[in-house]
Amino acid sequence: MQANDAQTLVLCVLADGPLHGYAINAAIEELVGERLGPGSLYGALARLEAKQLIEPAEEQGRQRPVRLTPAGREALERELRSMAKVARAGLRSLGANPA
Amino acid sequence: MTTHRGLVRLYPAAFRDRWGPGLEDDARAAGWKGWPSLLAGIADMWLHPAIWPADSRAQRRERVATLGVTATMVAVLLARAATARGVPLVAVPGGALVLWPCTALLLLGLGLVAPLPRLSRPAVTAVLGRAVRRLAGPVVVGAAMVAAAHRYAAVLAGGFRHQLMLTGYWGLLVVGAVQACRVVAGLGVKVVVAPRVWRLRLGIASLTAASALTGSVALAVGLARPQADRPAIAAGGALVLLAWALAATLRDLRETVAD
Repeated sequence: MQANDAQTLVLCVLADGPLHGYAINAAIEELVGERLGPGSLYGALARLEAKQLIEPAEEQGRQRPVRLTPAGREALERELRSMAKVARAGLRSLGANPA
Repeated sequence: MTTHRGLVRLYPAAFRDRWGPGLEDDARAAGWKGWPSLLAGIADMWLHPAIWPADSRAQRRERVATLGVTATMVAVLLARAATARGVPLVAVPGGALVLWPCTALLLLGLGLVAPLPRLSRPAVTAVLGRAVRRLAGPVVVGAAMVAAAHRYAAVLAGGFRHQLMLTGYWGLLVVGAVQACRVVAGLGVKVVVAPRVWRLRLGIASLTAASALTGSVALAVGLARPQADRPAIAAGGALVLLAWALAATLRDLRETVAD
């Protein structure tokens, strides 16, 4: 996965709690400044559910919220640590403050 | 029906059942700007049946098995199309050395991915009944076409009748391939035993290798001829794309299905 990967973004915004599709996209827009296309968002949700990294939460009418599973939380943490390590190394090489 | 609703209906049913309402809402909100993403998503989902929402891992494996059978049929049709004009691939220098292993890999792949009926009378009857219902028509029409081609060879040798026969032949091949896929699609875990993961991995890997090799040979032969053989080039390119799609299925299997 990469920082702008749809699956990583979805996992990231679900770390705060269960959300449904539209709310996930709104949270992603707040995080990175642009929304995912509907095909990309729901493709990422289907993949994450197939990998058992997210699961359905309680339904709210038409909306079907999802939440992180423990495996999803672990995968996200692993991914974010890996990204942080790369970011720190890159910033050090550039002479920028990695804070 | 609005465009976005029509596009959502093109997704596989299992996907629509799980994500359809939310996807429709988001597609409506995105407007026409969301259409390219929806189209890409539709192609993505049809190429990755292992990630469709499923009740069990066995159901996922059964879907991958159906994909394997479909890929075999597509590969056979494309390999046949590659030789539609000009010399058969097996007759070009070195062609036999590559194409016989390709055939072996294709048959090995099909044997490994094909779901087997459960060893019970109702299950075997259900599979055989479905096979007869779906394939009897193409087999009868095919036999009639072969008989007519032999009986009236002189009449069908050229002109409009020859073109008609040729179109009928290709139409029959496509219908037969679709029907063969429909025999195995959606049989259900009560009727067939979905192949184990190792069989699927080996089978899909074998089909990937067969498609890549056959496609490469068809491309090389099509490009090497004094006048480029367009059907061979197109079929070769499509076979290489098929190999790419099958390789993606191997990754899906690793990520989503385990024994």
